[in-house]
Amino acid sequence: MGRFASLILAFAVALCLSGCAARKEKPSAASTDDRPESADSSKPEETKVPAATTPAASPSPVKDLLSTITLENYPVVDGSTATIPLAIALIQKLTGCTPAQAEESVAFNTTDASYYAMHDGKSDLLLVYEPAQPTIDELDVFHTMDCREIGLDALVFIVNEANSVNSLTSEQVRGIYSGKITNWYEVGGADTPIVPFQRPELSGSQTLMLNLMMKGTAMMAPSTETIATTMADTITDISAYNNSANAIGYSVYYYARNMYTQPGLKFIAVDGVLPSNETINSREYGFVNAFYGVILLEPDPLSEAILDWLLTKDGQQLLKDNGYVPVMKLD
Amino acid sequence: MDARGKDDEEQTMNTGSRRPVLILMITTACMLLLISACSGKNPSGSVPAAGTAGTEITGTITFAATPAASPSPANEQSPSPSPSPEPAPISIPVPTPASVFIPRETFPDGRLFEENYYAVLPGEGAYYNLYDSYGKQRCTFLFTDGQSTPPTGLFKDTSHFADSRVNMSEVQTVVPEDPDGYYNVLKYNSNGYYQINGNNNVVTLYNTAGKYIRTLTYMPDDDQGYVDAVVACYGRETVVSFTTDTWHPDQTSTASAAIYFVSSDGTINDKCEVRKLPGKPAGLLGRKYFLAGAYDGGEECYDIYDFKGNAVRKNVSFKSDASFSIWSSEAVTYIHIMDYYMKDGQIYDASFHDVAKNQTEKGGKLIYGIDYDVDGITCSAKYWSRGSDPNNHYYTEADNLVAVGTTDNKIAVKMKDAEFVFDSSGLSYYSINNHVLVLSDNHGNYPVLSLATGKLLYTIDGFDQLQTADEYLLVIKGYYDTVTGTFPKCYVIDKDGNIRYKTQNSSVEIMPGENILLHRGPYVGIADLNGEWIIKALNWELTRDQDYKNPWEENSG
Repeated sequence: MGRFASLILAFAVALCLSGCAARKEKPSAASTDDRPESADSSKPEETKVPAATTPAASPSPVKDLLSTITLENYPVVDGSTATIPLAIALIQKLTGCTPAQAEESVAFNTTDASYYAMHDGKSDLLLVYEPAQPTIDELDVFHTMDCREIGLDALVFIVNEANSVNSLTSEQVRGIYSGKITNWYEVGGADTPIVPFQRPELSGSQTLMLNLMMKGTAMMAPSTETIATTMADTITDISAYNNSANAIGYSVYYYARNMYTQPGLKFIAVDGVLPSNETINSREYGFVNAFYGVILLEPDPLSEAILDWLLTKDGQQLLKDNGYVPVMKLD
Repeated sequence: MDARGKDDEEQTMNTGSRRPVLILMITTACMLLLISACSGKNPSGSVPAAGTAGTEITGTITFAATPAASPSPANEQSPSPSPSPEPAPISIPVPTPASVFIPRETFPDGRLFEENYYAVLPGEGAYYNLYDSYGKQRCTFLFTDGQSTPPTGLFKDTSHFADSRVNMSEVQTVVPEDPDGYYNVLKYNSNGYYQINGNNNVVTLYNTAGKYIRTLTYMPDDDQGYVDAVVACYGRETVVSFTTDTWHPDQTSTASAAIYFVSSDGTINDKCEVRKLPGKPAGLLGRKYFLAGAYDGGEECYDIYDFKGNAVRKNVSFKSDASFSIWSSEAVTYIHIMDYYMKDGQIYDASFHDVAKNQTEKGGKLIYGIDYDVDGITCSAKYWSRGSDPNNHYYTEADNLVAVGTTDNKIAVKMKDAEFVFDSSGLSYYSINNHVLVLSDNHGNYPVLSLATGKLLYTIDGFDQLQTADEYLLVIKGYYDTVTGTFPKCYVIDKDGNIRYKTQNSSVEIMPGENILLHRGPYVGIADLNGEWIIKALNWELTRDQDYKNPWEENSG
C-alpha cells in the first residue's frame, strides 16, 4: 500500500516537473531526420550543441523524488558497454550503495539489444548510444521512446604507437575501409599492408562508423574468426583489433580511453584534429556523437526523475567526474 | 603458530622419524557446545556480534565459540579434559553476520599479486589479455576453443594458452616460426621456451632467459605414423615426450614412446624409450619401466614393460590422480610419471619391493595408500589438500597427500611437514588447508578448527560446495538458477574465521593466495578476500560480439 501511494506521489511530482528540466522535444513522426540532432548521420560536422548549455541545479521536487530511491526500487537500467561505468556511478550516487552493490545491480545487454529490452518492457531507463538503423526502423525508436542527449562521445581511430602515421583525412579513412587504400605508404607511412579491423554490424561503434565516416561508401568485408562451440554451432567473430604494427581499428572515445586501454596504442588525428575531452566537448573534432538517456514515452516516474537529474548540473558533473564528456558546458 | 612450513632441511633430517606432533585437546564440553550449536538454531533468528564470546547462528553458517585448547606436542601428556561452561548467546538484530573488512596487505614492491603468477582476463572479441603481477599487460592471445572453459584467473604456466606470447621478444629462435602458426610456434612454460615441429618430430628447447639449450628428434617406427610431441615441466626438469601408434593389418596396434628428462642447461638426465608396446603407454615407472595395456574389467589392467619391450610384471594398477601426467589434447598422449604401483592391495616401488608402513619419499612426502602411525593412530594416505591451484581443467598433478586416521574420539592427520591429533568425538575428516581443518559430523555440520590454536573457529551448517583454498574457505550454498539468473550464496571465510566477503549476486572461484576470481555485474577479475578489485575487465559476454550460425539451418536453407 505504501509503495502504491509513493508511486502515485512520484507520478504527480513527475507531472509537475514535466517541462522543468532541459530536454529535447520528442521527434515528430515525419522521418528519422527528426532524431536528436547530433545523431543525424548525414551532417555530423554540423551537429549542434543542445540549447541548454548551462545546466540548471536540480529542482527540489526532483530531489524529493530522488530521495525515495533505494536499491530495491531502483529502475532497471540497461544500455551500451561504454556507459556501464556511468550506470554504476549513478546507482552509487542516487542510492548511496557500495561499489560492489552497484556493480551487482548492473546487467547490460549492449546497445541494440538494450533497445529491444526496453521495447519488450524489460528495462526502464537506457544509458545508451545510437542504435543501428535496422533497430531504429524495427522499433520505431524515436517515436516510441524519449531519447535525450546526456553526453558526447566520438568515433576514434587507433593504430600501434610505432606507426609513423599520426593523422589521416576522412577521405583516407574511407579509402582504407572501402579497400581502395591498402598500404600505409599511400598515406605517408611505411611500405607495409594496412590491416583494417572492423566491428560487428550491431555494435555502437560500427553504427558510428557507418553514419559518421562512411556515409554510404560500402565497407570492405571484415576478417573473421570462427570459434568452435558445441557439436553443431560455431561463433563467427569479427576479428578484434590486435594492435599489430600495421593494424588500424576504430572504437568510441570513452571506451578506448577509459575501459579498454591497451599498451602501445595511440589515437590518430582525423582531418587534423586529435580526439580529446576538449575537442569533443567543443566539437572541434569532427566525428562527435551524443549518447542518450532513454525512457519510454510513458515512463515510470523514478526513471524520468533520474533522466531529468542527469541533465542538471549535478548530473552532468557526475558524467564529467567519471571521465565522460558532458553534453552541456559546466563552466 | 603455524604447525606447517618447517624448512626443508629439518624435514630431510627428520625423514622416517617422529616429527613434532601437535595434540589439540578440545574438551568434552567444547564438543557438546559444538554439537548443540550445530543442531539448534537460535529461535529468534538473530546472531551475536562477530568476535564476541557467544554462539553466532545464521541461516547459513553457524559460529560456535569454543574455549581454546592449548596446542601441545603429541608426545607430551595431554591435559585432562574438563567441562567448560557454555557461553550465553548474545543476540543482535541482524539476520546474518556482517562481513569483516580487513584491508589487504599490499606488496612492498607495488605488485598486485604473487610473483610468478599471470592474470588472464577477457580482452576484446576472442582475445584474452595476460597481465604480469604488476598489472602490466604482457600479451594478448586468441582463445577460440569454444568447448573449453575460457582461461580466466591467475596462472603460473601459460603454455596451455594457444598463441600466448609472454616474453617472446627475448627469445632468439634457432628455427623460424611458421607464419601460419602450425609448426615451430614458440611457446612458454615455467622452465623456459620451446618449439615443436610436428612435421619432422623435432623439439627445440630454450631456457627461461631465451637461450637455446637443446634439440631433440624422434624417428618413428613407421614413416607414415603420426608422432605426438609434448613438452611439460616436471619440477625443474623439462619433460619431452614423443609417442606414436602403428596400426597393423590384423587390426592390432603397437605404440612406441621416448620420454626425455632435460635439465635447465640442456643435459639429458634420463632417456626412457621403448618400441612396439602392445598398447598406448599409460605410465612411466621410476624412469625404468613403461606401463601399458588396458584390459577389460578389473582395476589391475596394466602390464609393466622394460625398455626392450619385455613384460616384467602383469596385472598391476596405479593411482592416476596421485601422479604427475603428461598429456596432449584429446589424450593422444596421456602418460603418468610414477614411482609406485599397486598389485593385490600392496604398494610396490620401481624395484618391485614392498613399500613399508611409515615410509616416505625424500622430503617427507607421503606415498599414496601407505599407512602412517601418528600418536598410535594409523593414518592412511588417501586424501589430498587440493589447495588453490587455479588451473582446474589443466590440473595434472596431485597436491599434498594427507593421511587421516580416526579412533572413537580422536582424529589424526599427517601431512608432508606436520602432524595433528584432535579430539574428535566421532567427527570425520573433510578437508584441510594451511590454516584450518574441516571436520564433518556426517549430518551436514562441518566444524572448522584452527590448526594453529586448536580453537573451534565456527561450524558450517551445510553447503552445496565447500572449496578449501590454501588460505581461506569458499562456502557456496545453492546453485545458479539459469531461469532467474539467481546466484548461489557465497561466503569467503579467512583463516581466522572472519566472513570477509559474502554475496548472492556474484560468483566467486578460488585462486592462489588471498585472492579470489570474482564475476560481479559486468566485470570479471581478481579481487582480494574483501571482494575489492585488484585487476578487472569487462566480462566475456560484453566484449565478444557474437553471431551464432547454425550449420543445420544453413544447410536446410
